[in-house]
Amino acid sequence: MDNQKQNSTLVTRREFLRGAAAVGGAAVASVMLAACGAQPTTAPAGNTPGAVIPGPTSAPAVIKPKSGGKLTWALNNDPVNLIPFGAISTSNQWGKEFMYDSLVEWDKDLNVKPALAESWTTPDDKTWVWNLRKGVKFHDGTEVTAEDVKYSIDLQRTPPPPGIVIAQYPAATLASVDVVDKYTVKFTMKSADPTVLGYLAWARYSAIIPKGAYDKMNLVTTGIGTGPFKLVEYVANDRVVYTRNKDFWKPGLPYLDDLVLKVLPDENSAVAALRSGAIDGCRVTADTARNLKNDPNIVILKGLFSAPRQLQFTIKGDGKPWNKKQVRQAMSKAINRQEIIDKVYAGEAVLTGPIPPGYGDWFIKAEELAASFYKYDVDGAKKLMADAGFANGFEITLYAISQPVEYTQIAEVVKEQLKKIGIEVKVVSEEIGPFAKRNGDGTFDFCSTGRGMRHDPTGYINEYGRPTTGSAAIWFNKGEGWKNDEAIKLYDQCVVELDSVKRHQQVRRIQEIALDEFPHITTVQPYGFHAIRKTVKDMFVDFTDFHRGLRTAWLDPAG
Amino acid sequence: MSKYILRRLILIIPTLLVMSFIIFWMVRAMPADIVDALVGVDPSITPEAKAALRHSFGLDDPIPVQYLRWVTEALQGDLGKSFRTREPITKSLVASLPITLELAFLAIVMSVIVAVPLGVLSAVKRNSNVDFWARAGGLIGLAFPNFWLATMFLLITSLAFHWVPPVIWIPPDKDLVGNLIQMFLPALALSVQLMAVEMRMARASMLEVLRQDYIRTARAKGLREGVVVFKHALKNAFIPVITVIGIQMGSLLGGSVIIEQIFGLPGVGWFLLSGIFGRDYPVVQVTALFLATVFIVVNLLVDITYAYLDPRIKYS
Repeated sequence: MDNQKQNSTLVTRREFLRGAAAVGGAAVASVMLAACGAQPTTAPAGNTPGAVIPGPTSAPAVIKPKSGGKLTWALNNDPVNLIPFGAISTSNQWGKEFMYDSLVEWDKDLNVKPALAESWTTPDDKTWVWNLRKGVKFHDGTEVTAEDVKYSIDLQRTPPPPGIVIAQYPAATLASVDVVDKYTVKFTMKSADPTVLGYLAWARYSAIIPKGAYDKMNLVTTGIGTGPFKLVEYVANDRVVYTRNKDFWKPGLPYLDDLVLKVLPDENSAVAALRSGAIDGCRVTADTARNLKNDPNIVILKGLFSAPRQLQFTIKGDGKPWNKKQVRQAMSKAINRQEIIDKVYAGEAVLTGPIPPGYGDWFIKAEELAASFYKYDVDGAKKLMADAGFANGFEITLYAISQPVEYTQIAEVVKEQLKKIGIEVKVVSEEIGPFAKRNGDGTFDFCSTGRGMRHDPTGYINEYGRPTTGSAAIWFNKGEGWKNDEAIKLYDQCVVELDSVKRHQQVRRIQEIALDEFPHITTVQPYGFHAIRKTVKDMFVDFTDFHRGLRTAWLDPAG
Repeated sequence: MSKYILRRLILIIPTLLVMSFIIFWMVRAMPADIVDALVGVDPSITPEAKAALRHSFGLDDPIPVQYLRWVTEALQGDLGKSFRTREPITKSLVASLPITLELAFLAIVMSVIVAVPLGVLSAVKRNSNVDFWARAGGLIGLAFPNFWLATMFLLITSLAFHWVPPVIWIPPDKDLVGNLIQMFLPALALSVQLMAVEMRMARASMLEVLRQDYIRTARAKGLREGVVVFKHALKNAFIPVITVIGIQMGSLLGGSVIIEQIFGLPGVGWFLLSGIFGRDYPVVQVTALFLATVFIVVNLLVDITYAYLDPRIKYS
């Protein structure tokens, strides 16, 4: 309580803003309140969802949640393993997410909330002090202490195999993790880092596990955490079975007695199983969602999730037409994104810039994108092509991921659209493995791909701000082919900027640069759909692309 | 006979060695590797991190070195661990094998139960209505791909009866009835094509046998038709059917890849398929080699069955 008091009384304007620098929409009021261990009562200030953001994806429960029952959820991808640190497939998180917690967590709208840390302070720009919640127990009954946190955070920087070092992790800026006392941990940073809260809240790489766990058990197939469910068994390629953690630190939760995740890659099979009640819910495509709409036993949930689609170039300074900015601008002008939305997604998608709609208040709204950045203008495009010396167009190969088929469908639509300005596009559809290799090696001119969730807005604009490192270095020939000095400067600032207002301006400007120069052509963001039995309550389409709704979902046998 | 079997068994060793080399080379000839498959298009994973991961799998060694390492370890009884799960492959194989074997076994049993009597009846009552419908049914059965049938079964049972087989595998030793109920539709979907092939084969070979002199003799000496057909003709007519079952064993194991995926059964086929998609080389190598071994052994068993069915066949 002392900590909370200190926190709530000593919040200066600077701290107030620093808190707001939290991530992915963690906005001022909510972070401040969160830091005090209280719940925000109103929508976070500054989080101004545009018209594109749908309302609650499932009707709020009017009746009191009931405890008990078993829920079976179908996953369309095998989790592959359950390693807590350094796993790089999203489906890994699907398998393990119910087992683990981190120091903080995002709520449904990506506001940062206390989790294993009930409060935190930042005495200076480079220090984070975490006050752990007392009495939280791991699934084996031992209490969570600062030692466990230190062990976990340290290991996350160099995850044991098959974990892989994730570049986004603030490891580069984290100097040390120190145990202050049994319930207090201190992070000392080399430089100010506004991405810390987002990293922890995302929870994908930041689980807290018992000290020494990696030496005691095979964390590939087992695990011990503090999450709402305890792992019963994991059968690779088949299922993950969980049972209720009676000692969960959130009183009364979870509601479900048992949670079974069943791997069913075939959507038709999953839908048949859903209709018959063999499973209680699964992800579905927009088409399937429409087909299921009239089934009285099934409810369709719709929501945005982080999956912005984009067409990537390699710009290597080798004289190819798209090395010229006008050509890329022309291509963007000639692409009718609304047609992509209508033809590929049957209307179930929205415009996106580099940062997808729904990512807190960091994205550029669809209306503004349509009015200012994505004006469909074939004549203007032709003029730009002529100015660049390519009035007669050129040929380009567009590689696309074959499954899900939407990437190839986008490519086909774009192919027809670019014909109008004389560009002959050859579409080559590739399985994800070879496509990923090509993408990583930069052995393509143009490709149809997408992005997933990021812990921080900088994760979506990284290649524009760091064109000389990582994959961007390959795509842009270490900046020789494309770079923008202003974007680099702004990026350097925003990765250390703790002032939320300034940071928003920097991130916004980098997006504007990307939407003017189009090193990649960002297009649309599809909606995600879940189909659930009507007995399942309080589930939602998770923006992070995980299934956090299952942590609090409950079953109403009466439907 | 035992010498022959021994020779065939010994021949398995060089066959498997050659197979192992081909499989090893082929999985590496697929574009992209495990690291590409794992990382996907995530630019936050640096090329250095990818290289480190490749090194941890030993993928940065020359292919001959990798091959020798694998063979050496395999000869010492270590078939290796999955790249993705780091679990021993033998453990996963042992867990998934019963499912696939049961599926294949049930599919064969179901196909024989339906196809052989129908084929015999069709031959005996040649050009009758029964023959016509059996042949038409056979053609239709051949024309339907099993994955389509499987999807239809699920669609129909889920819409009409609000029922599909349980999605979590029930081992037969825990609940035999539950297991058989669960496996009925997948096995049926897998068996339909086989049924059609066997029915046509049984009919054709039965017709062939019924034209033989010894059948005429049997009839001439006044044997009842049932005895002629079932005692004298059927045993001989069965040989080509056995061959077909042997040959189809391969396609059964292949077909089970899709069927397992559709019904969510964690069998060998699915294990192999996910290994291929994930570029999990050790899994693909060991599973493919294992399936090759099964294939060889089944062929041997078929040959031995011939000798049992037809005393004229002698192996030396």
